[in-house]
Amino acid sequence: MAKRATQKKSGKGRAKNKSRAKNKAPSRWRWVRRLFWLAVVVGILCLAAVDMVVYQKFTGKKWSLPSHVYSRPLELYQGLSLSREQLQWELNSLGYQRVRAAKSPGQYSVSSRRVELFSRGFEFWDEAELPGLMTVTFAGNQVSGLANAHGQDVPLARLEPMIIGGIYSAHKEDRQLVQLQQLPPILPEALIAVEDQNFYQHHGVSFRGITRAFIANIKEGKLVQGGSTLTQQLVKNFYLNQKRTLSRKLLEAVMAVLLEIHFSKEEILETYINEVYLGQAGDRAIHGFGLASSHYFRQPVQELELHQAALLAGLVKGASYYNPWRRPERALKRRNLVLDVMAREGVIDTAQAKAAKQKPLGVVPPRPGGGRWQYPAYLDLVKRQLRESYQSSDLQTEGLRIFTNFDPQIQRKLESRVTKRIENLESGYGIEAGKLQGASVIVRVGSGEVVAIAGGRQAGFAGFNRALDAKRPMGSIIKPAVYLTALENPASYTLVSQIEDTPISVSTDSGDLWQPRNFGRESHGLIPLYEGLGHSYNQATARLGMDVGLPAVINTIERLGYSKPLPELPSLLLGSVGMSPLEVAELYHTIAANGFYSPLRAINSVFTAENTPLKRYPFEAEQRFDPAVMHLINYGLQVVLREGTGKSAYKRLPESLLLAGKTGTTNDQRDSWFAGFSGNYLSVVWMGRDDNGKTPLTGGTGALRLWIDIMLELENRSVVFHQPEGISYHWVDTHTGLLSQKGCAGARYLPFIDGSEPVLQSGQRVGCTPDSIENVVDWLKNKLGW
Amino acid sequence: MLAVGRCRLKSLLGIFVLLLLLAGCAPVMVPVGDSTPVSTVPSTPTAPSTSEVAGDEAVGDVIVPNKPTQQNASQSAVTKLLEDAWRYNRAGEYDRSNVVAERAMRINHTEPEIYLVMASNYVALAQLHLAEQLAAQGLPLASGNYSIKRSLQQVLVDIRTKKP
Repeated sequence: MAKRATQKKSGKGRAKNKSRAKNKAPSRWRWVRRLFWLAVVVGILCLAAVDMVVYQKFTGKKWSLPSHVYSRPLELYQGLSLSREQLQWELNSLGYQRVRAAKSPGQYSVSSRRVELFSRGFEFWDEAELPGLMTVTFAGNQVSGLANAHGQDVPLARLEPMIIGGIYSAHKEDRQLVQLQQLPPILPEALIAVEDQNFYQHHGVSFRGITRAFIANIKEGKLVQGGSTLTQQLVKNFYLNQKRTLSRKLLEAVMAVLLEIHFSKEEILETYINEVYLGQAGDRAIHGFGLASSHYFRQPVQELELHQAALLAGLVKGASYYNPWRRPERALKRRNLVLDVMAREGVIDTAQAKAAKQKPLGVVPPRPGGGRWQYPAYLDLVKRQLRESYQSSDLQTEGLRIFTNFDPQIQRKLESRVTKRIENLESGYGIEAGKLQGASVIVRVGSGEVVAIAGGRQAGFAGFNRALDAKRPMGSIIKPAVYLTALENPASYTLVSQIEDTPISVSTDSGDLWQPRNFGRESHGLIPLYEGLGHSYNQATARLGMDVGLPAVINTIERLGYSKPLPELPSLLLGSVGMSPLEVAELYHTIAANGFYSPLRAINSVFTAENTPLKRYPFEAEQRFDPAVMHLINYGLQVVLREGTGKSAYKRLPESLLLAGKTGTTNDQRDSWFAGFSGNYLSVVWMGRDDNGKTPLTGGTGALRLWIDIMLELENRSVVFHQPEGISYHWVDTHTGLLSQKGCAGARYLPFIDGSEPVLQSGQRVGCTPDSIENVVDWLKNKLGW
Repeated sequence: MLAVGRCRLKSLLGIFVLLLLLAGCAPVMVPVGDSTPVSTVPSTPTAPSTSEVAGDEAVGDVIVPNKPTQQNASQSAVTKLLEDAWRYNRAGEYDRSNVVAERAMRINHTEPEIYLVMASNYVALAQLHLAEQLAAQGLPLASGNYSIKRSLQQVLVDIRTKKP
């Protein structure tokens, strides 16, 4: 019974086990199924996520675009001071091709007195300059005529500006976006022929391509061909990293297919053309065919010819390996291979391929300094002025187009003169080679546009920018502010007021004695005011400054354009305050512009990446001084150059040219300054040592010489020295300050603010009877109109 | 009688020649006008001089005021740009007009009409302070051009009337 019961029990148990085993199998499958479906769901979710990434990045902002900085456009007009060679330099810099006869945009031809050019056209703020043929005729170093394609005279024409730099994010990726329709058709055709012949047939992944590459690699026994389509290459560059793992390859294939599902072949090709890495310029990575075209050929991509397009298409395989500057033979071989492939694929015929293979690589010489931008000192100023209106991130990523007032023709002259003059001074004065430094700023008088900057002796060096950052004691170049302050009070001071040039001692707030002495250690007693400025007498200036008061002088400096706080110290009167050449230029521009202050501008306008006008930096002016007073100070600054500390200028500059300026030398001749202007250019020069060491140079023997070099390179007009209302000229005895007559000893013809001129007291007579023969000569001159 | 007359004639002729010579030696007057292109002269190193103080010989009347710019070779370009600037001004495109006027300024900033057109633009843009400053800047340059001078004065009068 018990056994049966046991058997029954065990029978029951077996049945249970059986049913358990029966139940276990389906539950396993269920789990497998569950896992499968889970994997499917996860896979779908992952795919959706990947799809979202693919879609969003492609439809959104694809790249962080650096901003590009442009020079001024060259305006051509009759009377412009420009030689044929200078125009050729400009055209070459813009990438124009010299040909026998210019027939399409970006070409020019040269004959003895003419340059015929086909301009490219450009969209400016005011209007579009259309592309067109024009003839520029020269007479010496001047444009004597300008005619259009029909031979009709035209008053003026503009060339497009040149790119002089960019503002980049940390990864220094540079590109110029182009649209597919802007490209010459031969370029995408060359790319497709050499990189992905089935581009228009496959759906992102080409099994035919993979098989062909596999066979080719087996045959060669090494990796000679890749099976990636253009779409896969784009995915790799655009979305993924450069790792070569199986999972990454799979992801690349999936993303390529997804990309092809969402976007057209044209969209993918255009993105590829803008994305691909094609070279290096210093620390800047050259991406896209648009920028590569200007990098290698200095031409817009639209103008590329077959042999050039083939070279760029060939560089896709390895821009560094086939670098046409460093490996020209390799690059040539690669280019010719591309041409052969194009002929084989029927893109071009064999005759075209043969003709293109005969051509040289045609790359322009690389920019000096490994392709770095050539004008870092000016770019520095542009960036600083931009930061006042834009955030750094916007400048680095929004692809802004920044148009400046930079004049590359003046800049290259400036750089060459700075280098030569500093070397000349070092050897002439026995200064240790390489120790003397210099900086200069050139400004267009009137508009206040900064046209050129030298930040140091070495052109193109992107180091310490002395023109902007070297705050060096001004020395005597501050003196015009002292004299201007005095002359603003005509009841007390005129140009002929007698001031005392004798030793002076001033106790300062700190209890010290300030006892300035003249540079020549001599005193000159009573002198007329204009002579104190012209000869830069320290004692006379210090006395005058203390007389008019430090707060008044500080106020004048501020009105001239200096906005930072100034210490109320007597030594300020002789230039103990430190300023950069750019800051000095701002002060002197107010003087050059007859008392109208204008902020100095490097930037002209800013456009968006889509070429929409964004912001203009217009000309502004504010009257800070009376024109009559400015006439007097202008007179004094002309005295400096005619008979004062700057008189060596007229040994080399034409006598007929009216110039004004001021020398400056600091204690122990550590700084040599000159600030001066003609009617159309203002230039400030500083020289000294970075370690603030002594030099044997004064303002007159150092900076002035470089200033003269610079002025000789520019097309200068005389200072605007019109006699304003409220000013009258009188002959005055400079020793007594009393009225005199022409021809009398010590008589000088001087301007006075009306009412401030000396008057005859009752019973007083003019100092001398002028020579009667002089009167006869005057009468004759008047009659004969001499 | 005749001999005396001849002698007087000779002495008069002598005086005249002397006067001519004297006139030739008279101080050089600075020519009026401002379009004086400077030819490039190679820099020649001169003997170093350590003197900051120069001599003090008198120069008489070398520094004398010059006159407003005469017509020069670049005038046709400036005229064309001013025509365009006025055209844009009439069309109410004041910003564009200012851009064109600034181009003219780059060629010759002493042309007073540039300041007139810009001042007119800023009046239209209700930027009266800037308009006033520009008109004031143009005024001293217009001393030889009465029509422009009158217009600039009128702009100033209008602005000062409008100003609160």
